[in-house]
Amino acid sequence: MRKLILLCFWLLLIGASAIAQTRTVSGRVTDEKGNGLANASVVVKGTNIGTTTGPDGSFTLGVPSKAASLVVSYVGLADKEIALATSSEYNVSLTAATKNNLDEVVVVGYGTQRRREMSASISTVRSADIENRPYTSIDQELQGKVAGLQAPVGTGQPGAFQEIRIRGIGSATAGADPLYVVDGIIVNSGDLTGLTTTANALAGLNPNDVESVSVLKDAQATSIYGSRGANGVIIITTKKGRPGKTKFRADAEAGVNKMADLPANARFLNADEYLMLLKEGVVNAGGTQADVDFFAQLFGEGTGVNTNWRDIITRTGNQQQYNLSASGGDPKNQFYVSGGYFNQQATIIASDFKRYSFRTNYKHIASDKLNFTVNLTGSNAIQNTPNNGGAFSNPIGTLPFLRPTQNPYNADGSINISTDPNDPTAFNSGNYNPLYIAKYDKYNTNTTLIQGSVGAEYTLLKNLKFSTRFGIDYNLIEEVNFWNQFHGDGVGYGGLNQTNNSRLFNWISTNQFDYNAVFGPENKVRLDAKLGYEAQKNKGYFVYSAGQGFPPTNQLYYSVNSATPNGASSSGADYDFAGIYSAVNISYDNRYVLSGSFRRDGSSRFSSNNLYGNFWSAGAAWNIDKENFFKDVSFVSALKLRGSYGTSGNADIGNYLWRPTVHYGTNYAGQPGGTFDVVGNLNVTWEATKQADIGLDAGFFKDRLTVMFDVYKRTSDRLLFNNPLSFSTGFPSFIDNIGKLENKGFEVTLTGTPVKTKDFTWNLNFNISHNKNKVITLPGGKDISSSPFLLREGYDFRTFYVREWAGVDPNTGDPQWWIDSSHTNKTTNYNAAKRQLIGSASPKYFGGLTSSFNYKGIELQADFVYNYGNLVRDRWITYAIDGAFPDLNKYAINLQRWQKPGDVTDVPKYEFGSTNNSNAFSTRFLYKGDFIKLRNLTVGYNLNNKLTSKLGIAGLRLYVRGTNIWTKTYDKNLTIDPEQGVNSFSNLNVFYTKSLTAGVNLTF
Amino acid sequence: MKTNLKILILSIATLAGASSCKKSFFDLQPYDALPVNKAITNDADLSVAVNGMYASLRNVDLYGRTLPVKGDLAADNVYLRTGNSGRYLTFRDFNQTAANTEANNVWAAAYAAIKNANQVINAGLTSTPTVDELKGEAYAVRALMHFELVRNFAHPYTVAQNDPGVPIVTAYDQNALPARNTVKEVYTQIINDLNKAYSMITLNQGQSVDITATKTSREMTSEYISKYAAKALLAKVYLTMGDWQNARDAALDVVNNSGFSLVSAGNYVGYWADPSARNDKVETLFEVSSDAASNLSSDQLSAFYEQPPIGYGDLWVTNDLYSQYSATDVRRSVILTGNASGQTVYINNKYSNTSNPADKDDIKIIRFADVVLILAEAYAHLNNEPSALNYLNMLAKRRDPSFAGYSSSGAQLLVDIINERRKELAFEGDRYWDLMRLNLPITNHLKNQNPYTPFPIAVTDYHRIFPIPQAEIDVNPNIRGQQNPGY
Repeated sequence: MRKLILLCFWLLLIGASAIAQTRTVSGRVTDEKGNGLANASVVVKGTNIGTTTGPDGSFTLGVPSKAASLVVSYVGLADKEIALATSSEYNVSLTAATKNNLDEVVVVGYGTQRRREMSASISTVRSADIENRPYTSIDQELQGKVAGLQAPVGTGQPGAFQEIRIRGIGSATAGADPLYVVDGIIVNSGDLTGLTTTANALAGLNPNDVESVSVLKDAQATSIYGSRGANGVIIITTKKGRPGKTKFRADAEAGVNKMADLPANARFLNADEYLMLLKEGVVNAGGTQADVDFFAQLFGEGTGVNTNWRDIITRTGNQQQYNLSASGGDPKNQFYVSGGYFNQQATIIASDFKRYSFRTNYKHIASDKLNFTVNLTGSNAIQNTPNNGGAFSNPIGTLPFLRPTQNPYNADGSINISTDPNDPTAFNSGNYNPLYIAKYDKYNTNTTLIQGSVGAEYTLLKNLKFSTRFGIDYNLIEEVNFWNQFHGDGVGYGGLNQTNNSRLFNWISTNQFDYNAVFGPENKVRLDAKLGYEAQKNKGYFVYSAGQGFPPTNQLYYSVNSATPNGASSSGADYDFAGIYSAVNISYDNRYVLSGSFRRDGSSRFSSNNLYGNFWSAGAAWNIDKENFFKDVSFVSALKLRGSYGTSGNADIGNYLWRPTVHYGTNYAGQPGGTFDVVGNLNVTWEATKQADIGLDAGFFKDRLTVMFDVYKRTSDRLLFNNPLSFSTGFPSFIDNIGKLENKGFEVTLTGTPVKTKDFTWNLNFNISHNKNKVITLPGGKDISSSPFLLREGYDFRTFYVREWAGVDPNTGDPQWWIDSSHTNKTTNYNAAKRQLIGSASPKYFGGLTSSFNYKGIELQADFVYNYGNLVRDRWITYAIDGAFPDLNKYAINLQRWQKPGDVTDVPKYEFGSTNNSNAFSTRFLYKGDFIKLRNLTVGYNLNNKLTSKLGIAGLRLYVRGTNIWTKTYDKNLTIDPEQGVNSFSNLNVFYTKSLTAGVNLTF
Repeated sequence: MKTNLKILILSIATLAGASSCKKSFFDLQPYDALPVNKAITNDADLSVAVNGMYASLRNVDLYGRTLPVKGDLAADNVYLRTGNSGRYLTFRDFNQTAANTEANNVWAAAYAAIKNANQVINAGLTSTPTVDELKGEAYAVRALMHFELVRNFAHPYTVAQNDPGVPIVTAYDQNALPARNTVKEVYTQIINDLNKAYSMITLNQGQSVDITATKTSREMTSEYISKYAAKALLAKVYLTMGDWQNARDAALDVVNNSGFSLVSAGNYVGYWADPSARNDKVETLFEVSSDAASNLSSDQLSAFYEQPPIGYGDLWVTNDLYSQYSATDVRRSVILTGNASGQTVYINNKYSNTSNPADKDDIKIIRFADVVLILAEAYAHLNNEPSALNYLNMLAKRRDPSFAGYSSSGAQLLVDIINERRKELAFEGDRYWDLMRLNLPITNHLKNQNPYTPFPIAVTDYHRIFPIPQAEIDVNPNIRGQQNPGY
């Protein structure tokens, strides 16, 4: 290792060379508002002679006498070219970059890079597209904004985990979500809770503090993250201060959340319809009039109760957020401070999220060689999350699991919790009264996040910079669940409190050398190199306790009040990583770019035989537009061809997966017992991905239209699966790196300004992604059941394995299925129909479209997302259709049932207590998942400069925004929203939210 | 100054790097486990491994539920009621295929328990009285599991001792792909292991093992295999083999030397109702523990008998069995009478602690009554009918104080002994194995009682033994050609 470091140094140092200088120019680089920009890059065009600006944006640079112009660039802003005249003083004002402009500077792994000098595939999202939206976490804002990134919503729960897949699904049993990096800290992401239905570690970050998001997609971009780059990397960079007048900003937004529109077929029956169908069902089952009367009375006839459970569980929720920030500084000290409050009430009772947050980003410039940074954020998020799925306490579960004849209220208006078996309006089977559960059960999660780093940067030599950073990511999660003793899950316990505290302390230390040099003929060769070492360790500590037997009051729910302990445990989970990484980028004359990266990673998660992994990438880019032969093609303003190939790993595997271990807790006769129960595998290690990418970036008509195009092939190998053993060993299988998946696809992003006049601008941004997934290798070549899917070699990873619905027999009203895939014979016996591999839960195409109009300060922006080519499953319809569960309510589509011979319909005869399996999973309950959604529609007004200066402020914007206000679907049979997470099946989750908010952004 | 700063920063960086570059940085141990090669370092660790081994016998696919259910349901003592929970239909219908779940699970769970026993037996500890005592218990468990495997998956020793048995496993080897040993080889291994157990275990029930590393002791209750429990198991193995001389010797050793006694008629109901471990050498030689903290909750055997809403109540007692007991037989008092759709049904009440919050029913593996009956049967076969009748009546009259005693001889005496075994060991998973070792048809097997649906199982029915699990066949080429005939 040490030899390697020395060798790298030597290579770096011999590249340095002296440069002849003949005149000196100076000036200041500012943003649009005139604030000085520190660390902006100023380079003599066509060479790599350059410097970076000082804290106040000023620069001094010696330039060759024949130099014609300077190129000035700054992260997040568009480059500007300044012609050099006789003057020696040049003041440059930079404006915001258009998205994916070839000349923008983007955040890449362990640094920044000009897009033109990049061979990697990286998409960026800027703060303007992130701020002031009714989303709890930043990962929820990326849907439709980044080609190749799929982020389907799975629940309307505020603060929920957001699944993200970049370029398809790259793992079967290990994690498939990307790595998240916040200001250089690789953070714990995902759902870190123990008892909560769904939560998201990233919800602790205030999206309003975010300056930019870089999505790293290809191997050239991700392999510098080594064993953790395979699922893509999302780098979040927060806002920093700039020297100049202190800028204050206040953002306030408030509005309402309502239930997003559901398909017409999602309606459930009312009491009259339910009872009518019930009675018909009893007759169809051969019942007498006495039977009909008996069951009608048993299930609520004559009670006069008609409950619409959807109305009972939904509400209009509040939506608020307030953010205050100040940023600014002087040549030596720059800061950004902010405070935020976010509050979202879901459209379902007892589902909400509140966050208080602050951030301080501070930089001190000690000398022209040394600076220090401190970034710190803290937040407290309080979330209430009802159960989902088939849990009897799930409020959404009341729709299929209760009858409209059950009464939420008593005659006196109080909440009905009767379980009287003889009262048809009582809660005597299945789900509980959601009103009581919402009021007295607790599903509370309180998360405190402290995240930040201290760092220093020191210029060792003219071209060599050393930086060091130590960061922490601290999550404290307190979960309190309480099941009350009077109604619901807690009755049998006399009330049950479960408390789970999780503490995750994650530190990361990064040390890096950066080397930049220009050399060669006319100094046309530019070399950027970095070499770093990073170590990270995460310690998780968990304490769980539970108590039961509570005093008969609704006031006390902490376990200190309970009579009997129900359980107690403490445990932990740790992991660490350490690696050396390096990257080299060489460009010649801004035309040819060669780049490469290398990382060697070790981790506690990797077995002793495979502790270290090497990951590398190589890429090249050709800026064709800079070639002489291209000079005459005037309508093409930029054209770049790039390609890369490389490797990365997926280390999102179990912390102790490989270790052959004896676990304790197999106790006997009151004494502790332990058995050798984890077979382990001394060779198990990361999953390995190889990816090839070819891309084309082009600009037309002075970049009025830009295109980014990528094709890729991503092969994920050595996937973890259980490899069967002879049972005689005492183990059924051992974990092994044996599977293989492939994702192939393309991505197109178009950005254009179709109209631009003095007063009116129309901007359009469109992206489309196509991905095709294929399972290549499974253990022993054998199918693996992963209900409702089947993994089979040669098929898409998320292929449904399901019996095919063949409609209703018009003569008998019986359900029918196709016996086999030939579709020649039908059967009324569900079990006689063979299951087939049908479709996929993953879309063939997806993406987004953003259109914005600006007219004299009035803006209108619409963000659409769309999805095409997958199937989606209503998972719980089994209980909500046909007569198998006649005591539960039914979808209104049951009204279209077969009634007499000759009826042609897709809904079978309604038969009380039917056992014909018509309600069992078949293609009858798979729908086309295609949709277009209007994610945001914003109307805004920016006060013009005259008005703002009169008011003594820098800017004022007023806006009204609708979120999720329109959905177009393409399957008339849909009973659910077609957007149901990565696996495309519903789980009675919190309904999606449609928000209407109004806000004001004030800067002064 | 500048140079100093440079050096300072670089050295900090180097230190940070060096400290986390060591291989030990990556050696993070789990919080709930020990590395397998470091788990057993002294006799205290060994006793923890022994506890883990015993706990694996509680597995729902072994004595936790499946094995005791099979022994009665696949025979003629109990039947699955109408509206059952859908479990164990195989033991009613005798229609399983090679993919059968119960066969697969019993196979897997028994070999997992053998692995746990082998971890104890092969632990590299110096021999001490404590280590030997504990290892002796592991030999007995290894024998017991091979015994269950060979009688479940192979033809009876009394019928075809040279047919394929099951693989004998005496050491853990992750890469092992063993073929089947013969039935005879497996029984030889079982006998060797039980003889070792008998010689290594020196303690009788009620005595204590000293754990030297922690200066504590563990009492040899009925929940551990004591010296004579090992011998009793040996007697049962010889009985199953039809080796009457050895069966007599082993059983007689237990009867004469163990100090165990039969429970009195007056204490019989209380004996079954009491879920706690025994140390009084009354009746229970070995049972598998279930207690308040460690139990199978709704999967425990008692819940399978206990009527709803507490248990599944899937099994009801056949009228045929119930009619075997006289009105004065104390054993009839652990059978409750119920009513279903106007019909009288009989419900086993040997396990009544399903919802007892303080303790749960242990599963009896071998009782003194069993040994007494083994002795009677062995004497009958050895043509010592007076001794046979003596031991048979010792039990029968203890259970039914009004009973005058048997006086039969010849074939009828054997019939009486087998019937007494049925009555004594009902709901303990024994009956099926009597019929198997005697190679008898199961004439009174039934699919339902009301309406009465007899379903006799012929001796020739290949379903009487389990298939070698398909999953084992798929992964193990050496066993592939050795599937049981018919499957």
